[in-house]
Amino acid sequence: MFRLIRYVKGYRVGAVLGPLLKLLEALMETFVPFIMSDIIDVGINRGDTAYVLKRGLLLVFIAVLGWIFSLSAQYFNARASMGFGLNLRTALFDKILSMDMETVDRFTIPSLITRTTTDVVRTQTGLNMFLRLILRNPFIVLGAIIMSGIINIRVMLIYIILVPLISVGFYLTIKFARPFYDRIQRGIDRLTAFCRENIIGVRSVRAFGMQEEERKNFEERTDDLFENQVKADRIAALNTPINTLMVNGCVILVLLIGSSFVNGGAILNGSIIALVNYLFQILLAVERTASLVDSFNKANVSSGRIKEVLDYKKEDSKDVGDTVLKVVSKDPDAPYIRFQNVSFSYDRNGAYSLSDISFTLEKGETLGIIGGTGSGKSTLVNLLQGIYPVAEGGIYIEGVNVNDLDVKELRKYFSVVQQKPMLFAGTIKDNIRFGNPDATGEEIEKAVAAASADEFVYKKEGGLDYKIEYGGRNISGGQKQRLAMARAFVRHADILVLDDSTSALDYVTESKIRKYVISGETMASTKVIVSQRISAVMQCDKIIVLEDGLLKGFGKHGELLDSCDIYKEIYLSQTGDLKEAET
Amino acid sequence: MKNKNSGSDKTIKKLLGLLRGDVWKIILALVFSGAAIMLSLYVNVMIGNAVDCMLGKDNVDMDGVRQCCYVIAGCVAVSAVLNYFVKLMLDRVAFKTVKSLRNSLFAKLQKVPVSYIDRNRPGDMIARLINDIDQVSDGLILSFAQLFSGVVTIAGTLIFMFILDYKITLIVLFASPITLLVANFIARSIHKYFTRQAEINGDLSAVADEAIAGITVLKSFSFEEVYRQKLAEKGEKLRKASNKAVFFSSTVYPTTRLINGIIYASVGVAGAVTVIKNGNLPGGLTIGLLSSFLAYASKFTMPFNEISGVLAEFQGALAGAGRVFEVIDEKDEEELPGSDDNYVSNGNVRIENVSFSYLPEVPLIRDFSLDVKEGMRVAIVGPTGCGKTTFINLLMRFYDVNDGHIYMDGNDNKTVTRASLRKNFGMVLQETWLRSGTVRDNIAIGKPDASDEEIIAAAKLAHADSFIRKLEHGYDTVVSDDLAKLSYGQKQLICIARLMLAKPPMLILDEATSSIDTRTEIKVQLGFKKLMKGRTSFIVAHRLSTIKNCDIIVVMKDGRIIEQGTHDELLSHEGFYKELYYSQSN
Repeated sequence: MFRLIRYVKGYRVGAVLGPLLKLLEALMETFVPFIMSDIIDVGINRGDTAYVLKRGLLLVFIAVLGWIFSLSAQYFNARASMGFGLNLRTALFDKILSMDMETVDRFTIPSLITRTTTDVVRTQTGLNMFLRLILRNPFIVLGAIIMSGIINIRVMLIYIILVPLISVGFYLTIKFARPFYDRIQRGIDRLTAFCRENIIGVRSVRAFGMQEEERKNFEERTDDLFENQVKADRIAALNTPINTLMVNGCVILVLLIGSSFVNGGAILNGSIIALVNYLFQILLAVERTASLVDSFNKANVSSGRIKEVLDYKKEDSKDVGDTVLKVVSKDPDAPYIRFQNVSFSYDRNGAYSLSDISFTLEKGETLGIIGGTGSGKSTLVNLLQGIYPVAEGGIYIEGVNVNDLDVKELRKYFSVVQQKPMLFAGTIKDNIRFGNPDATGEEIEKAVAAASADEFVYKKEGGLDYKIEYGGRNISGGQKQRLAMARAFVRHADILVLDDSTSALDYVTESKIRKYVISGETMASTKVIVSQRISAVMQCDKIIVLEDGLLKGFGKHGELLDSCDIYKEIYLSQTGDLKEAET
Repeated sequence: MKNKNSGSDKTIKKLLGLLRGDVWKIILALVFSGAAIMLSLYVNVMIGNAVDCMLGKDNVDMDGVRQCCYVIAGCVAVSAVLNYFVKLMLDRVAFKTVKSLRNSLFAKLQKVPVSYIDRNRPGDMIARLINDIDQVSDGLILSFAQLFSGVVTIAGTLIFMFILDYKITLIVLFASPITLLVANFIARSIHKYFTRQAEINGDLSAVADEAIAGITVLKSFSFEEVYRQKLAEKGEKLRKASNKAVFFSSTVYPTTRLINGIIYASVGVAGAVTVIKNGNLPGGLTIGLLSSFLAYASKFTMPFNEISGVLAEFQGALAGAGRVFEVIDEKDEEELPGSDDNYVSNGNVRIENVSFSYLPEVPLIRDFSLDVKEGMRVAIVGPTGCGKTTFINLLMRFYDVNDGHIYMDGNDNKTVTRASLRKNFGMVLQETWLRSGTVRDNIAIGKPDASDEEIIAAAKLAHADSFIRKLEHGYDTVVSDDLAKLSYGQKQLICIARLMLAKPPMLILDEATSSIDTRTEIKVQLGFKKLMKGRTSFIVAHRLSTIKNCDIIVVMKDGRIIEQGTHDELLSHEGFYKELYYSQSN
């Protein structure tokens, strides 16, 4: 957690004042036994009631002072830790937004979401807890040791030995219990994953009649978890008894040694009481710390996960923000889009997803890309948009290498319908305006109709003003795809990319949309259509056939039918008879 | 209100029922815990006695001090050992309860109707299984133990204090509840800050969630800045709200400490005055006993803080337990009495006037009839939402028909147990399901005793063998659904291999090859063709080319059959099928 402490910036005053005030408050607390021993040693032994009253008032005064210190400390601590949380979340979010997709994929999206939400909350709570609760305890221990030294310097030795002993005991129990706690955590993760699989696969589980087997597997996992919990507990539960024994051992020592000091006249019995009280204050402080360790550990794990994201730097590629852009100029004579020997691999040492792709496309042309799953279609489109950096070869738009273009400039070229459409909380209209904030009502209606979304949009309550929930949960997959389509249609961009974006639509709807796209009524002049369906790409000006990342064919439908076996096979498999395809 | 109470009464009763086997263990633990507390309280008296042996210079009873020390050592040692075992015993009961609750919850999920699972989000169910049950153990069993030791401590200190000096005890007794009142007052008045904080936090999480989940869209439309601002705005709001909630809640402890401090001072003064009056003589209050009294006074107030915390946790735990029992008490899926549990199908399926809807107000399948003879291949086509998948749900009895009948070889399918009915179907769905385990285990699900040769042969039929061999450990590679090692298409191929191995009497293929590229698909289709020979098969497909050769093609729209016949018959007249077919083949 402290590795992230620089994010407390802007709230530093609180982060310093808070603990300082806490220190003062702890000091007040340690005065109490000292004053009480005065009451006994001076007041009672001399029979001086007035003195007793005066000291009593002092005790009250100290309690009030402690309260004031404590409240101000809490105020500054809350301010510092909540500010820290805000800074952390902002930094994290900025970092995530500036990541390229390769990095996003590496962390995975669900994990990035957990890190910006749960982990940030845990970390800020951890800091607050540290400033507020954990820090107080060492202060009290320290204060107790000092005060005992003021009473009798020789007795202080006992305390000085006690504290490290307790710390070692504490450290050892945690150390030995740790592996079991790790196993418990993993056990819970496994339980969660297992249950999720079972629920999602309910039809398969029941179809295969596997309920009983699943139940047994689950029970094996809970048994295992139980064993580890018991084992961890056996070690961790030792902590309190050991501390109690050590502290009470010291009490006995203080009584024995103290009694001979009293006999010798070095101290009075009131001081013995104070010394014993300091021991109990130490015990209490230690116990409190122990009870906080668990949540503090969680905060530490969370902060580690956050730091991992914040510190992430790719070894050999540019960070988007730091790029020094070359001065680039467009070349009007160059082909509109040109791929030059492009190769790409998601996993740096793994297989190529695309190898040695070269082709050109002129402005106004429509490009179809066809191939099976894993053939590299989406990769090609992602590279074109600069979502992943091109490592080998080059991609040029209007003669400019996309790597030299500012990411924002590059994105202005494109209007994209993703394979997995994402909608955002807000009205349908808001979501379509995402594509073009200035879109007029008429433009939106036209786009909705072009995407064949009109048949359901106007049936919803409020029509275009229908509220979509977070993540588009309240509409179906096919509806999402059509709205994503409409969103792309209103955008003023030169290149329209449909990345296998009609998979949830039936063929009739798909063919309607396709007609619109190819007709040339769209804002974009150049179109890229990615699909597994031959019907979706047949009418394109140029068609790329991909297989295993290799370009197996390039040309028009008719040409490819003659020249490209794979294309022909795909064609026959989707339109012709099975028998024809077999021959 | 009354209802609510009786609801939580029921929950408590159920929880107690769960603990029945451990009653003696719990009672023993509580007795031990009480003994340990009394022993540790007795230590304070002994410390006081020891102090009273030290009257001043050359006036110390060394033997007396030593004797007190022996007693202290004995009490502390016994109470430490007792405490250790009490904790182990109670924790064990808690862990065991958690385990058995989780097992019952999961077992219940295997028995409830599929409709129940469909209605509930998986995330919610998992939250019940993990968080709610944890809360039950923390909040009920462990805080119960804490509550008990708190009560014993309060009672014990009161007794000791009364014995020492009843007048001063009255001060403590009347002043201490103030702490509780103040803590309660603060807690109640800051509740609204917490509600507000939770609201804003939920809102912010949702924004962060969708921004990150939709990051590609965000980037491609250059909308990063908008979301950055949205988040900054909500973040600042959250910061302010949290500041208040966190600060005000953190005033509770200092304030109770203040009150306790004042009580402590009063007791100290009153005690000192009493000792002075008494002349510090044995029989009355002495210096040493005053110190014991002060120790009790501070121990007496401590549990009050804890008890209010325990009560809050208790409420939370009850709510959690309620959510858990809500599932556990769900009705099991029931079979008709005397249902056939060893049904083996010949493959004749007759569907008669079937109607079905998930929600009563939205009718889905209406008056659906179809007669399928053994060995027939039946294709079901139609636009999204027409009821194709629902039809499969009915065939497999994941759902039961509302009206009409489905006859299997002449018998109503409700007279056959679901388990034995389902054994007759082999099913590959669009959504694949792999269980955590090796590829081999996954293929052998339908036939656990299959030999390696059989498994490999099935994988070859499904055209899965070649990619499986390329995996890191071949057939022994461990896969699971959430692992990204396999593509959708590959997962589907494994599911198909499963079918090729199990060879059930009837087949259901619901978009079984949707994620497989068309060229592999052709090869898989050949495998299917062999498998389908003599087996009644139901095939749902988008791509009409894959179902052209079926014996009947059923065209569905809005839950009804609108056309039915062979491919050629359907093409011979203008209709929906023809339109659909030509939109695909252009």
